[in-house]
Amino acid sequence: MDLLQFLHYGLEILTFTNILWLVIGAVVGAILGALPGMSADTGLALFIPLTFGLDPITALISLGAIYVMASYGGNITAILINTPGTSDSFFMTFDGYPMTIRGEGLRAIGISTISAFIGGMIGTLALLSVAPPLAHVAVKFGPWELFLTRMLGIVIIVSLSKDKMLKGLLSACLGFLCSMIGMDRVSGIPRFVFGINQIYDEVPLLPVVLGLFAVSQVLTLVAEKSETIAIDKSAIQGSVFISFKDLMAMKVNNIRASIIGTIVGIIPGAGTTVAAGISYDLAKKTDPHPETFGKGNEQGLATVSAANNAVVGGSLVPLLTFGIPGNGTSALFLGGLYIHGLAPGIRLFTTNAEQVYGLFWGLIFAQFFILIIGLYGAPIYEKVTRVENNILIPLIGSICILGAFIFRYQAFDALVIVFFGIIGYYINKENIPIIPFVLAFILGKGTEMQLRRALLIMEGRFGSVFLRPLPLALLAINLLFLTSPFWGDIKKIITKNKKLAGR
Amino acid sequence: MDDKSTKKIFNYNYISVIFMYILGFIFLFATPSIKIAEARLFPYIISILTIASATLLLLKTYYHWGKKEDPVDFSGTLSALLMVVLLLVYIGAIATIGFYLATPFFLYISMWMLGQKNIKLIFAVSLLTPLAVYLFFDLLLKLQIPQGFFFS
Repeated sequence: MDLLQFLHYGLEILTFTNILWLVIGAVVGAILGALPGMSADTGLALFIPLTFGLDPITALISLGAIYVMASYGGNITAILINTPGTSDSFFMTFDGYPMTIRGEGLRAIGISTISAFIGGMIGTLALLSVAPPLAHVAVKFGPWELFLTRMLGIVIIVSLSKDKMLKGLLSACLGFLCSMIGMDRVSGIPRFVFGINQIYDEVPLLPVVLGLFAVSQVLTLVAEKSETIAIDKSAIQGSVFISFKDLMAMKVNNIRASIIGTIVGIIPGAGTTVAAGISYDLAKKTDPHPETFGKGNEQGLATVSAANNAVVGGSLVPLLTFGIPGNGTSALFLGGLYIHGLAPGIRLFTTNAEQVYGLFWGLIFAQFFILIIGLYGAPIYEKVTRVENNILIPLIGSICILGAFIFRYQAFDALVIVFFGIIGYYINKENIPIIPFVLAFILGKGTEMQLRRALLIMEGRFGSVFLRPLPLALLAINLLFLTSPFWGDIKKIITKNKKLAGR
Repeated sequence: MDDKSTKKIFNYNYISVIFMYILGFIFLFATPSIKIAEARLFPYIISILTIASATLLLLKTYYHWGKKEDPVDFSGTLSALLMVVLLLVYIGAIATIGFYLATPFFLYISMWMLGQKNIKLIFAVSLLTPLAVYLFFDLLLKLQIPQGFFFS
């Protein structure tokens, strides 16, 4: 695609409706990201029902804005009250909160905002330049490749935590089991319906997602009886604007962290915390005063902010090209794509080019909202964090139930969200990773279909996977990731055996 | 020795294992009834994998393999269950009397139950939320809000 065509798409999305929904998405995302206990996942899950009546392009723009802004919103509470709104903002507390204690809370917000803008922009531009050519690679994939690519997305997420790997596997199994309920896409016959007509087609995606992410959060907040931690007015003093000289002093860390964030974002499963961790470590090692890191170092704060927001653009690369969501939020984003009748891959960049390039423009515009909301929204943060949980919980509960009702206009779907809310609550409490479940549930039907197509073409021979180089390589990568958590242990055993043999 | 220190903490992994066994076996036994042979392959793979993973978790928990897990805290679950009951009643109420009538009651009761003391605030939120939903969902987005038997 040439630049003129891209600019043309940019001009096309500049309608009143699109801009209105971009603003709504940005504001809602910032608020939900800033509320401790809420997250980008909850925000997206709650927001998807609102987009039912919208054009796919408008829906994508607002969902993109939520994704970007919720990732940024968590920075605010991390800096001002030492409570990351999302787990992704954990590193932000290291230097952000010490700055607040020093009476530089607003300056910290300013640094974080500018760096998040730079990171977000670099991530989005990388998405724009990498995703379309990569999608052309995806078109060469046959059923085996598609099956193994989808499996790879799930395997990476399952293998993320060695200690919870077994629980992650069980979580993925549960997701696969749920995905198999309903009409078999190949033969058209119903499976595992158990006489429930409402799931004859499938277990509906949106109520499951709303239940797992939003209702479970409502139940967790009720159980924890958590008090609202309001921002102290004294933390919001001074100026949020930073000088050009200060900005230039941070340019190396900002650009480096943005590149790291983008690359880490592209790798499925690596996530924001990894990007922030690597960038922070590098910034600390290259700084002339590493001892000041963790005590309110501005470079440290800038690095983490840039890396965090660069991940958003990066994470959309494997999602839009291969349909592999790298984290929970992008898994929900994938759900949003499916609900609006869009599927990842080459067709998204050809047949649905208007929508996907509209999304890219939406992400670019959303970065500017980071600047506007970040630099001018300080008085609002204080009010947002003062909303008490005993008001917030019933409101979210009510929106969830309404979202389920308006999905297919069936009370059954509202019962589904409560059911999956209970499941999500138990999963959270039992420290079972929830993302493998969601990924397996979203990708399950497609994964099975590709496996069956592959077997059909190869006349049922499983061994055919070894006959072609690409499926073989993908299988090896799958196995590599599956065994990766145990490499350390294996190395230890080998070293121990060598030592014993040497005696 | 203190009784509390010697008291064995229940490991909730056993509940997860039982739940996954039940699900795994239900799917495994239901699979042969699928009429088309090809449509049985994936369910067989997944249900067997589920049972195998659950068995591994059972063994891991029983023999304390690997790193010790963080203790699981289910305190407050009773309050969460109360909220579940409230949500179920709310769903029933929406299906019968509609969203606009059911919501003020749900919001009022749940806010009060969760400890909100400011009655004026409770009233304001309970009444303004359905109004906001009407303006945003009904008028702006043209989405169909459940009306219940009074208005349909």
